[in-house]
Amino acid sequence: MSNLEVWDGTISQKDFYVAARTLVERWKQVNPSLPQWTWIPSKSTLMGSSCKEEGYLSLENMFHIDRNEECLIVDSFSEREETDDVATLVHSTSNETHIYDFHIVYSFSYKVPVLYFHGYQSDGQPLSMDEIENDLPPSSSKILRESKWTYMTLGEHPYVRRPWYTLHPCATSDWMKLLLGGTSMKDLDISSYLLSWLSVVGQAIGLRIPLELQQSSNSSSSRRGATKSPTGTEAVEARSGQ
Amino acid sequence: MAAESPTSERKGEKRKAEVVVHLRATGDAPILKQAKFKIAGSDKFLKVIEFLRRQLHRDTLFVYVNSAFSPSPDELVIDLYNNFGFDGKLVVNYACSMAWG
Amino acid sequence: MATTELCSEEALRFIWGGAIPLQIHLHESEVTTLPPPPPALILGPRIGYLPLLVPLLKPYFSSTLPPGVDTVWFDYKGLPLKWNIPTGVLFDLLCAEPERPWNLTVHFRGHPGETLIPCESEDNVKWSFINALKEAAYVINGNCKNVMNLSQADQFELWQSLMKGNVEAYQRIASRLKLGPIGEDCTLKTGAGQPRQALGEADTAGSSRVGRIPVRLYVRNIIQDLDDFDEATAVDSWDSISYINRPVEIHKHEGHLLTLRTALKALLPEIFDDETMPDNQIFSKEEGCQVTNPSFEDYETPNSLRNVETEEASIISDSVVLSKKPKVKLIRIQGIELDLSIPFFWVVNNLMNPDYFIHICVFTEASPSQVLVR
Repeated sequence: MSNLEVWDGTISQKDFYVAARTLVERWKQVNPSLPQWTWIPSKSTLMGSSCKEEGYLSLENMFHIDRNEECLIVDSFSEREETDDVATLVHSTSNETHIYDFHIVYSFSYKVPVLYFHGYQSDGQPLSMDEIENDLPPSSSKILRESKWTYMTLGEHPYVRRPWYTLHPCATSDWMKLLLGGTSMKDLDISSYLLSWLSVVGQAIGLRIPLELQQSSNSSSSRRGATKSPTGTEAVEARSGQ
Repeated sequence: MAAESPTSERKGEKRKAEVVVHLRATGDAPILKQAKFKIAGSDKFLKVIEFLRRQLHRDTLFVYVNSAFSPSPDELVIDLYNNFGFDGKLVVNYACSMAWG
Repeated sequence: MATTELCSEEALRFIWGGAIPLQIHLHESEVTTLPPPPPALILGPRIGYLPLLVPLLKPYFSSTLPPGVDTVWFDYKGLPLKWNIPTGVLFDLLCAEPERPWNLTVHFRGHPGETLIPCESEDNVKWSFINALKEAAYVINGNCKNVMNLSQADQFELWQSLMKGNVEAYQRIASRLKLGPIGEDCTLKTGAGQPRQALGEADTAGSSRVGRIPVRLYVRNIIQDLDDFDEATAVDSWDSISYINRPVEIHKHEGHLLTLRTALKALLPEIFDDETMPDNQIFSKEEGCQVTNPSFEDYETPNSLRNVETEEASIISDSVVLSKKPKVKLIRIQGIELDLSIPFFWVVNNLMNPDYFIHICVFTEASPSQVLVR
């Protein structure tokens, strides 16, 4: 593929695996005390590409607290259990606890990552769509009410083969293309694809993404800009995505 | 990094915690008459988003920073500036199309 | 070859007219009257979906149902049926030997939410179809604009045409989507014989090098070494069926001569390798292909197994030593058992479902020794 070609917002399966590893590493650095993203290799032996790159990312046991606040926070289940005072906080805001599992799966049709998630109560009872809607950030539940069938629906998880909620991927490449700013193939840092992607998807489902997660790919240029050099503003664009 | 201040280079007449936000249209979004404005660093990013929503009369907007990520509405503007500001301002891109499926 | 018809009008009519005689029993736990109601006999269109039969079934069984809220689902020999798979595909896949009438059980209660997506209304089915169509459009064109830009009225008409089996109405709307047909080189012909101009120059520059065909593959392994499919045990869990939702990618100049076999081999290289190919005089060429699939070199010959060194590879080789590759027993699309040497473009143009996916059922056969491994 030519370097001059404008990137179309998609990612290949191989690059998805590369970007997945970046996300796993960055998440661990930034959120050492939270549950970790892990790569789950596919068990299927049928497919041609069933090598280490065939699989999906998994973040499980995320604990949904604070259902009454405007900005929702998803936090660590394990961390909650350790400290008494926070446990009280959980108790005071809601009488039942919601736990979420998130998986990021590569779609061969759309050539983008797709989020699948699954919510359940502490006794293992799956959450209904209404309960999940209550847990969503207000902007997201609004979209859900307006476009019930094209935003977030139950679909079959391609690896788990059970009904999981999924965010529709059909416009993902469009907003990824916008997000990474019409970058040409040559300048694109594909390994940070999932970090950028997660900043948008996290907001849709109320998964808080720490700012530090975004710093890896941009810190060098932006820090330099913020502290000293009054170089031209346009340089930001020219340098982005290194 | 927290010690960095947005306007420290420009003497003291401005309040330290003010951040210049440069709003830049991308994609199909209309360009604003006034693209730069000041906002308190202690404000949440939500305030920037709501300003854009009002100006553009749009509910769904795609707002992102540094051609890399879309900040959560509850991030503080000062934190965004400190980490991703450049040349004395925080560049915020916006587009109207934020479709899902 | 402009005079050759890429799509056969006759094939289209066969596919739209295809139906499976169904004998639907109400599950015994939901029978509250004596005698129990006799089973319902219905023709289920192949391109339709099981929940669309509910308006016919419900009045038939309603008088005997226990009180409660309905969430309708079906099973075949205890296997809950995925309603988002077209009825014809379910039949082809689950009845190795066609059973006529096909005996299904309907349930109005006790929906198994852990394994089945609930279908609460016709809207679920409609949107499952529209979303599949969007996915197919994205695979073919690199975007779903043509489907998204359908007016509400057109979208409604498209759905109604499928519900009513009205092929003319379907064609009227579907032709505007510009998703087919493909030519003999497996590239898209848009409108008046202009080969994929829209793809090459316009909005999908990044993906223009590769033609992509939407395919959903269902691979079922028949365990016994049987002469007669009748004896094949029923599928007791969806886990025993591999589902692969992955486009067939066609690189420039590869499209000519592409057969069903080569297309399937791209998706299932392990199963459709040289040994299963009767006409394999092109062996050396096939070896060249392995370069793009280095992880599978170890599968190819017993000799190469001795050379494996890494731990990962030796785990794979253990199972390979014990088991020979599953053999392809049968390929079934739209109820037709197909020869692997049939040109792929013909399959695509004539045997696709209204969602623009080719749903392919592959039956493989493993010898009993393989069963131990799995």
